[in-house]
Amino acid sequence: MIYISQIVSVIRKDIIAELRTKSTIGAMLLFGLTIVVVFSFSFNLDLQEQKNLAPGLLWTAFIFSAILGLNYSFSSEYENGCMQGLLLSPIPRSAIYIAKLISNSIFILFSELVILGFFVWLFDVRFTMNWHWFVLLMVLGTIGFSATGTIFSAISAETRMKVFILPLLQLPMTIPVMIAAVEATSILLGKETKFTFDAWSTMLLVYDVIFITLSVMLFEYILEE
Amino acid sequence: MNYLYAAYTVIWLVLFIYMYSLNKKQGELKKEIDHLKQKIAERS
Amino acid sequence: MPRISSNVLLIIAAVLMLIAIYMVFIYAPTERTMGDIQRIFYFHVSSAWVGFFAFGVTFFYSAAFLKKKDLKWDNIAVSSAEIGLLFTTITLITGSLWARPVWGIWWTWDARLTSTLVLWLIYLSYLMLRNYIESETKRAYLSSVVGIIGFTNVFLVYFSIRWWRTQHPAPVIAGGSGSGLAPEMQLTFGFCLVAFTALYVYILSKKVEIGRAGWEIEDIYRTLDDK
Repeated sequence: MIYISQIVSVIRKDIIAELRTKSTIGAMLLFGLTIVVVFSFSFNLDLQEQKNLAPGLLWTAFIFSAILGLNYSFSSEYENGCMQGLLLSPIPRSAIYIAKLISNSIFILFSELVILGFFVWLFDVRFTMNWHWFVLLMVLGTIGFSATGTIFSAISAETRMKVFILPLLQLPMTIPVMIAAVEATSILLGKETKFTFDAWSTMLLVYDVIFITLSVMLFEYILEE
Repeated sequence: MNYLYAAYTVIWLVLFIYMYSLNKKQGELKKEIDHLKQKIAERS
Repeated sequence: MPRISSNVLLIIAAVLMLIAIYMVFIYAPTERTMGDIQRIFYFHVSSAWVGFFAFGVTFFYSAAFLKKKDLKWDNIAVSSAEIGLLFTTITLITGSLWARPVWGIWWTWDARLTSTLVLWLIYLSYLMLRNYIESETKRAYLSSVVGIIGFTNVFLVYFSIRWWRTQHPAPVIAGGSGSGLAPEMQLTFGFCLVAFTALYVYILSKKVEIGRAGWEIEDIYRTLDDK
């Protein structure tokens, strides 16, 4: 279908542009890793406390690093004059959103994997269940975060304060994602929570579906003059 | 119960301050409109 | 919307509020387990419900604006959001003042409290966003999107109290079997709800009037410029 190939072409553009400069991913990685290091200095934790706080610290590092990437997602388009090009092309607005959603998610997931490795090394966390459950969690959480993050990034690119608006809008909206992700992660680390892993994952999935659908419908209005 | 009275006091304070500032704003706007209308009348 | 003078609405709201206060403090019986502190419940929950309702109005008029592109709808949306924020603030404060003597803590991170706080933050960010956009139409478009996305979170908020066990008192209004309010209490609560709604309508009409006045001034300046 033309629609899908349009989406793919925008994604390819983003990835190729990023591969050339590696600037966004570099910044995201450095920021995320620095946060992890700062956490390890800031708290004098014994082993048990580390286990309790680990999920929260990990996901905090994830989202702060993600915000950096999301900020750049649309502001770079405006800076380079690409936004005009995108809007003038026959690509429907919703396709732009989906493409941006996917490329943002890819970048964020990539940096999350690196941050995760670093985190496991420094904090010595062991997953009692299989690794692939955590990967599932990362994917669902990242998609959920990018769902609102992409559209808010587009919104903040249109405002006066630009990069400061994104965290303002995004962080409250994604608290449900944070809660579900952190709780589910602590289950994987062996802790008991009120709900099962499946329940939290389902909640994340529902969140993803709802907000992607909404954003696809609303995205074109952001670009109206 | 002190908390009970505190709660209702807070409610009324907040509401009154808000409504008062709204009224003030409306008064200022009205003054400006009258002032402008006067200017127009003077001009024509 | 028929143009009822806001002063009429003010009188209606004031009368209802006075009666509501009488009912809360005198008519309603004292609750068996918590005692008099329970009386906060009437205004606390009324404020919460009307606050949620206000955000629903914002959602509706945000969508209406996106459809019809009429800035009047956007004005109603933002006015309602401001009032919603006001009432939600009251909800959070009275909730804390209720929690302290009853639970011993000012705050707890259970589902409903967390969600209400999150909602408060979302609408605060909605209002702040508007400050950072110069063009009036752009402002309306962008904040309408945020208003719609934000309100969707309200449903996650509402259902969370149903699906998650929390420290918050179990649903007593529409909680099905096991919920229970004495009939006098039900009447008092219903009345407070009506009083708060009347207050909301009054403040909203006031804000709409202010919006209209602002546009009138702009029009006058425009005609002055043309001359």
